[in-house]
Amino acid sequence: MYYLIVRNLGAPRCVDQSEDDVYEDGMAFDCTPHLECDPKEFVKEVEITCTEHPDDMIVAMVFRD
Amino acid sequence: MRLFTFLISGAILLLTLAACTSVKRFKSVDYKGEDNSLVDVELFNARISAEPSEVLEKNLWTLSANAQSHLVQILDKRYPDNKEFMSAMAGSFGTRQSAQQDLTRKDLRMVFTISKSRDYSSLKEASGRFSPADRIEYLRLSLEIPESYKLRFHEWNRYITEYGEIDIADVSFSRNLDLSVDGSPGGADLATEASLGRNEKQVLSKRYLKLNGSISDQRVLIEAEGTREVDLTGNVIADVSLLFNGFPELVMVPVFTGAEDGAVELSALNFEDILVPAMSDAPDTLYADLELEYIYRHVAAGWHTYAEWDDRVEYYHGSIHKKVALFSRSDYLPRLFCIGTDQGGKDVLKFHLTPEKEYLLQFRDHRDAGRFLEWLSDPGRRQGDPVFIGSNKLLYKGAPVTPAEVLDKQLKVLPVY
Repeated sequence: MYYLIVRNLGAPRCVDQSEDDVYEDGMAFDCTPHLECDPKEFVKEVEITCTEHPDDMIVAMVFRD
Repeated sequence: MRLFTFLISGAILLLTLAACTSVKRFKSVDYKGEDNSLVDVELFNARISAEPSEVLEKNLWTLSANAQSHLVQILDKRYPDNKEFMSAMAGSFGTRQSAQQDLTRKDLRMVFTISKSRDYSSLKEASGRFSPADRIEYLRLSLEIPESYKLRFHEWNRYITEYGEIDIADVSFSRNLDLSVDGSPGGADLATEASLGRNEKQVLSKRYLKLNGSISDQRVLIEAEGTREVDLTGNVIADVSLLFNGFPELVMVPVFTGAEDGAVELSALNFEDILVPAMSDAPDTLYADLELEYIYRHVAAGWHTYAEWDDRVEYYHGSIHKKVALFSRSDYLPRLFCIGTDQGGKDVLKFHLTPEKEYLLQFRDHRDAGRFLEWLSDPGRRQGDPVFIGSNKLLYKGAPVTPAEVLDKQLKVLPVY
């Protein structure tokens, strides 16, 4: 399982998960969920936007279990 | 010969009087170069406006007089018992949404204190750079925020420069010159006396001040120019608004109603989208770069008079660079609250809004969270049943939570950040 994790104000949160690594730069996600994730291995960094506030790009991290 | 002597004397007299007029800026002027030690600047008293977090509650006292009268009559009919009637009167009828919170905007009052070095021990020294008549004649303040903070100046509310009021009023200068010429060139008797008087009236402390300011995303610039008798030593206040980039959060706004038995019932849980500052990390302090450039007018001679016409002026240019604290962590972290425990790691209540997604149960003020926890842990509830809010199941550590667990785990209100 792959997890998309964003970090804001020092607190990481898992906002999405997928069986495959579908995460790419420029994608937009709902950034408000706090999913239960089990991130173990860092995969990559991607620049995404939050659908609720699409003006700013933020750096998110992709992990896998 | 006698006529020639008088003409020469008259010409010298006129030249002397003209040269000594007191409506001059200085007697002589010189630019002496750079000296960064003559002036200092501090930034203090950064005040941030309180975050609007009030949730307005509807109760008997928020109604109009007419509605209050009607409600009291209805409650009187419905609750003949005095205790029940009083309880119903004290109840609330839900909440009225307050204006949407903007946690990304911070109003800041910046007070720049500009002070002069006052080295009285060097007053008599020829190389000294201080006299009581010295002043800061020009200054330019710049405050710049590093781009990495994702914080920008948004609005210039107003700015005020405060100086002490000096009122010396009109001053008259009176100069009388008595000239005696006594001599006998070539045997001719030239002894004579001449007297010449001159009065000048001027306003010494007419206050004249220029103050310019500009604002851009990353920088505030303030420029001030003094004039005679106006020293720019003092405070410069700038009120500005700053905006952080926004990061979305979902907060809960519980709406409670009083039940017939006097108990408080949760009637709805509204969801509200808000923005909090977007910053990957939360450093203890956010710093800005403060820069002051100044022109210092040093009076090397002639400072014993208030008038400036006899001053021998030396100008110095200087600049100061400092890193100053703009916000502490507690200033910019949003005050959101959740329910959970922080023993052995932080575990908090969440809920399912859709089957696939869990959200943090967070509130925009401590009172909302406290009332929700009170409702949740009410001993009158069925202790073993999972808690639902509408169709949303409340979760603790990924599993449905029961009122018994809330009491057993001693869940409490915690700050989210």
